[in-house]
Amino acid sequence: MIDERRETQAGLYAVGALPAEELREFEQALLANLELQLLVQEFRATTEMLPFALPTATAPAALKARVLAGIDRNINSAKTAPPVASEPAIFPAWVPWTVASCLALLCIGLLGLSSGWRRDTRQLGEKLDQVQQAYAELQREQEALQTKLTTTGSNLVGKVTDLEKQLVEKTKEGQKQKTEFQKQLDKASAEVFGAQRQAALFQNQLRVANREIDRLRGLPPGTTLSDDTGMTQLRVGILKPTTDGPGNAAATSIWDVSEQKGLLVIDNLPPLPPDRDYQLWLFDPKATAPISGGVFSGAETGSARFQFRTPFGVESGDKVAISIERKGGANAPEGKFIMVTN
Amino acid sequence: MNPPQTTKEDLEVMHRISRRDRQAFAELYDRYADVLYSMALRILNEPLEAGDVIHDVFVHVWNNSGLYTSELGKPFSWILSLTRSRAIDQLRARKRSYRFVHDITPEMVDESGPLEHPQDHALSYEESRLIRSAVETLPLEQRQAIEMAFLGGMTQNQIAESLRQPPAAIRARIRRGLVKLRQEVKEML
Repeated sequence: MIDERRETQAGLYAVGALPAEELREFEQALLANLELQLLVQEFRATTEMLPFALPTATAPAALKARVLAGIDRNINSAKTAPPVASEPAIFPAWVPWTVASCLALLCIGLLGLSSGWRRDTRQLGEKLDQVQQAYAELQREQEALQTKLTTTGSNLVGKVTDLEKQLVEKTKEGQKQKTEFQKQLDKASAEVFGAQRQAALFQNQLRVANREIDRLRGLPPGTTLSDDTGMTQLRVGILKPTTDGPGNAAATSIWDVSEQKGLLVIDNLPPLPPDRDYQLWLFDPKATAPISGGVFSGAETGSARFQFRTPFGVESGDKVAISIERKGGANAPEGKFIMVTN
Repeated sequence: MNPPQTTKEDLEVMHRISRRDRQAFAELYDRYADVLYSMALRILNEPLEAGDVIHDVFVHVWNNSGLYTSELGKPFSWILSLTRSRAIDQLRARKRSYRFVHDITPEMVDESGPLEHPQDHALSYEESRLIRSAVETLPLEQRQAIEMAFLGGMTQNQIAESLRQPPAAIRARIRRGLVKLRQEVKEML
């Protein structure tokens, strides 16, 4: 198949108008393309028709005579020798020798070129070997890099797996810590709740104690006393369990300095064995040792109140404590304190 | 598309001429002299110069008939090529340009009618008339571009410059003209 460009070139070539810059390329294509050769031949045959389409002008009759005379002169000058045979006479005798010399020189030149070409071929062969070696080296480097890449990839996968494991463990640990914190929070909340209950209990005890004081003074319940009524002579102490005491026990002591008598209200204080008694102790700065406020054995319900007195003239009755002593009490504390004021 | 009935006869004539047959040479001259002279005259536009070209060409044919082989093309193609190139060389030597004639000048047209001995000419009167008709079917711009290249020896760029057209347009005109002419001639002959 001949495209339009080639067809155009073929037409220009047939009429001799193909530009010089296209001529070489077209003639090479022409050598390799039988179809193109046929097209050029047809275009040439077409152009050869053009002279027949021109207005016919008859050649002058004298021209024929002149042409025939011209060839006659050649016939006469060449005698009977045919035109081809007479041509060698045109050249001088030295021309063949000159041509032979040129051919010899050409052969020498070609031999030199041949030697040069062999040298070039050898050098090119060496370069080819070098290039092949470089290529092999590059292939080895590529394989090494591939191996390294594979190893690095495997390591990375391993690291990722380890990190995932660590993450799972950290998560579990975090969950455990969270659970632990939740427990601690629950415990703290329970303690706060217990403390709130304790505070409510103390308030309740305080209200009971106030009523008791009112009763003791012969005042109707709810009467508010002013400072000049002697209220400033009362000392109130709130007792809390020690580490040796019952955790949920509560107690309040009220000491009337002027009357030298007091009231102790207890809650959740468990009953003691028959050979043991609870003993109340008052701490006065003027006294060198705790002053006994009396003994009590507690109650079945754990709640009780009792009055106490002491003959030693205690002025600071807000510092009190309860210990467990032998039956009947002791002169000085021998057992452990189970409840003390702050 | 060869000049009909000529190739085989031409080869035989050339063979005889190579054997120094003066009569054969005269036959070849009679067959092609007019058409070749017409072409040389069209190129050079000068009868004496055209005559000189024809003289030189035929003497060359006589002197080199022994060197002619079919590889050079058909005898007519070879002689036509010689005539065309010598006429164009002459035109360039005279520093003249090919002058395109738009219309076939009536006075130049052969009005002599059918030849008395048609076998003496390359083509018969009828065949020549058909070819002329085929060429006349070409658009003027295509015929002009083809003639300026083939008869004026001008390249596409020279034609483009002369006609003040882009070279691509000249290329297209020559291609279209030749394709059309080839088709027309095929159908007519």
